[in-house]
Amino acid sequence: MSEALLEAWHPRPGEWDRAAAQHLFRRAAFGARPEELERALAEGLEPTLARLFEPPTGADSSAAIRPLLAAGQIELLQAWWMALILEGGAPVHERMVLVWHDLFATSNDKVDDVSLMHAQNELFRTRGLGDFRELLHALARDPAMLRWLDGDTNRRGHPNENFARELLELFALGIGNYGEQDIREAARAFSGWGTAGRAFALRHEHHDEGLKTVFGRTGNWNGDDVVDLVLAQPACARHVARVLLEAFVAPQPEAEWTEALAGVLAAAEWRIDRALRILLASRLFFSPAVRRARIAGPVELLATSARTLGARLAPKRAARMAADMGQALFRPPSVKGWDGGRTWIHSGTWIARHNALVALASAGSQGELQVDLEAWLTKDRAGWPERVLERLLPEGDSGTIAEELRQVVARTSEDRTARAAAVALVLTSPEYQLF
Amino acid sequence: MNRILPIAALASLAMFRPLSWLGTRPPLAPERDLASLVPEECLVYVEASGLPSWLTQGLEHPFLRHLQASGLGQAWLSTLPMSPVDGLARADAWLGGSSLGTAAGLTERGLALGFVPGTEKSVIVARGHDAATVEQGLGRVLDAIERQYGWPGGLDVPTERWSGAGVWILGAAVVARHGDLLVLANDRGLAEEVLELAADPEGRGQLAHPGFAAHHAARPSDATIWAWLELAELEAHGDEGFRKLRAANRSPAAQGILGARIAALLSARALSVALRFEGDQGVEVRMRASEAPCVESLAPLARRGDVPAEIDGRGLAQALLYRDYARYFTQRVEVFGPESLPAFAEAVTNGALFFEGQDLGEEVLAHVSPWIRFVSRELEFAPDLRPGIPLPGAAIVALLDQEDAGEPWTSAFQSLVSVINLDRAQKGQPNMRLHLLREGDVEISTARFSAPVAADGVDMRYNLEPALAVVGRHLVLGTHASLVRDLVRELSGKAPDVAQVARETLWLDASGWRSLVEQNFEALVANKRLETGLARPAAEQEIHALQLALAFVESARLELDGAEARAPELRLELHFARGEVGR
Repeated sequence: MSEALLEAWHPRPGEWDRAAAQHLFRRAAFGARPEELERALAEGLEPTLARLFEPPTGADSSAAIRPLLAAGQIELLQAWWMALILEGGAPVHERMVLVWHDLFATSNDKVDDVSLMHAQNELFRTRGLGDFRELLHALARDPAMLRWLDGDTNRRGHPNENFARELLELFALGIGNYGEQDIREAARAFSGWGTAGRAFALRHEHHDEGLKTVFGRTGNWNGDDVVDLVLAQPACARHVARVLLEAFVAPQPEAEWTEALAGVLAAAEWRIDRALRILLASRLFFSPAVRRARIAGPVELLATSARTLGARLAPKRAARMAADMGQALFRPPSVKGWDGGRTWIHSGTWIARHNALVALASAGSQGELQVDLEAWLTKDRAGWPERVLERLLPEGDSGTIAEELRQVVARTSEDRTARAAAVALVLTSPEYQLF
Repeated sequence: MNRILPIAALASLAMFRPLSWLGTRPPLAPERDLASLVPEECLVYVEASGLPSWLTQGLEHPFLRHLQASGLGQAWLSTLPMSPVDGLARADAWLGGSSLGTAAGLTERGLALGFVPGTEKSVIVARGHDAATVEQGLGRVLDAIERQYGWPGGLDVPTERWSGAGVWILGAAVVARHGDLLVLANDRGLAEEVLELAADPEGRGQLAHPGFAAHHAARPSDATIWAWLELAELEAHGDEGFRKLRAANRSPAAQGILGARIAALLSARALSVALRFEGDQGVEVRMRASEAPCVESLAPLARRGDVPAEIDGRGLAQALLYRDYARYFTQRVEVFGPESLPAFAEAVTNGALFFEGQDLGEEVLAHVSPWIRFVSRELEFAPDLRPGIPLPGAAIVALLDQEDAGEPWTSAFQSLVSVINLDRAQKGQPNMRLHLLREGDVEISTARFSAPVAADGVDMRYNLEPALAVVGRHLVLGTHASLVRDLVRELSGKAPDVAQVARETLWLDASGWRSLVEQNFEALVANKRLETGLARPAAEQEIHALQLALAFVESARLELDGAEARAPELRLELHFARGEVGR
């Protein structure tokens, strides 16, 4: 049963349609520009998946932010990352950066060093699709993480348990898969792991060289040893599998899906790209039950909407909009990251969502938001409602939007206003918020 | 202004054919003001009185020669489809004579443009040397059009006659001539109005706008361009940014940064602007407000106060400003909008914490003169502490009532650093360390973050070392200890100026700013990209244009005249760079 879930989906004629392609782009990337979607439809699933997994082109992704790091402004770093997301290069890589940022949630509010936040982000970019074991080891030495979870104050005789606790509870195992004793002992193993300036530093004088017992195994463990012990726990693969399923498939994955993907992960020797490639090509991923099953987070909503419309957003403005909608990059609300799901939408964030999407639909040809709906839609006014629905809600709607669209187009005489109103109507509909 | 361009372009193509068929109406009085011919509905009026002189000199005009020789001019020329010389040669060939000479003859006694915002309507009104000159010039242009469109004699006779003038309808353009008067509009109604005004010896046109006549009469006689903007009515057509500017008068932030005069200028009912070129030396811009709602209690000289002593080294920028921050607090209810009052209340509460319970407005700032000097200079950094983005330092010099009034300020500064540190400590962030330095007998309080360790990139935060010192009655507050130390040295032994004849001024060294742009080129390009979403080449081009503009100018000086509270005047002088500096 489990294996069958992750069997490759071989679409029958007609099944690889606009809805299926958009589903893939919404989940595995940040949406598709019109020309990207048309190409995907023409080429089919396999070539499209291969392109989504393509690594960064080799261009230095940090070139655009490096001269500004010294400004120390998190808004600039947020804008830089938004620019990468909006550009749409190496889509799965970029998507995974956001997944890891949410899992290993680190906030500049405490780190207070934009250079360190940037370095952590680049770590997710360069290793995010590689061997998870390497990523976890690197993260344990990441200066931003060490500042965030108080590595510098973790000293022999006075262990600070913050990192050890989150490593076990949030990052790698999950509640119920460790004991308090494991946390205390793991914290001792990480003692002396701190920073010197912006670099990792192991301060031997602060490291506890005594014997520690973690998961029932005793030794003079250090931090790397504990990471290895964590990785050896069966719960670890399940935890990572669940993270991937929540991010790419459904907010509350079934236990058997988790088991199946954990098995794949183990077989892939922790290679995230291999496991993800199987997941994103699977029957499970394309099954009707999981489509439009997640409430879109602000960043994916904004980027996907802009890219689907072929719009251009100034990165700083886009980052501000996402923050207003409840997702300030590099500033997750806590070490748990963003709660996501239904918590994305409440009275405050809904107004911000609504305003952002209406602003996008109403943008002109100049300024921070630019969109050309005249080119995006057909010339034939009568065809606009169907065209808008086909492009934005190809799975179909609850039945009321189409009629509302027709009324909006009919009662708005000026073309530009009518186009904007029609697109805004769909973008702000409850159906569209589900990705 | 883009809407004006089509009509300006049209003006170079579509012209007029004079014939002896006209003349049933008396010619326009020679002394008739052009402004009286432009309909009142035009909310933007531009008069190019200096144009004939430019047309006569052509590319040999000193300013144009200077521009062509500069990097800015060459960059601009490179974007044109052909060089100005080639363009003029082509225009001459098209016309069959001197295009500049013809244009000069057609506009010798003035050219004005009226624009109706919110519509596409605009009109150009010009008066030539005399009727014969206009007839000849117009004939030449119409002949050229006939040749171009293979329609010999097609424009010999006007299409219509309105108010005694011959009228040609050329597509969307309306062209009319009566004697030495030429009218070119993109709207039939607007052109008709001009001709009706011309036919009416009592017609007032723009002169009907309140305040227009006085401003127009007082314009510099040698202004190249003079413009009138009905700001109050333009507000309905402006964007959000424009409306915010119009509300500057009631905004504490705008008042604090711009001062009462400029805030009033922006909030005025109307504004006149005169542009005067001084050959290849520079340009002067004068802006004068009409019916400016100046907050007089905040305007210069409303409260008596001495002026801080002059500072010798100019640096990147220097300014003498009048900012009565005491009255911002004591008159906040009368002056500012209710939305700003909570922030004032918070500031008063916080101020009391730092100034031993004293009221910030009535007991602290009231003892500081409203005259303030502002200084900005480039800084020297040790090689290992040079910030990644080397910004300049800035300081203000204020004047206390008495020499012994400085202690509370020193104490407040040190308390403020402590409170900031407390907040940072709660967030687990590194704190600032307080230091006391001495320059002669003067103690300087300063604070800075711990120096970054070797091999770290140096953040801009290390380019901040706030410092405070009191020299006699002078209170010096700056972003960097080294700058404050220099100012302490320069102010030692100097007495405040008690003459009370000061004017608000601002001086900028363009070459210094250009150097800063050069040093921070990569950061500015990167920021531009994130701000706008531009690709790198386009962002580079924009910053390069800024560099060229700064290289074209040597310095800028801005002066505010507030003799008439409701008609504040701003004068901006740009002095052009000489020789290779401009390249």
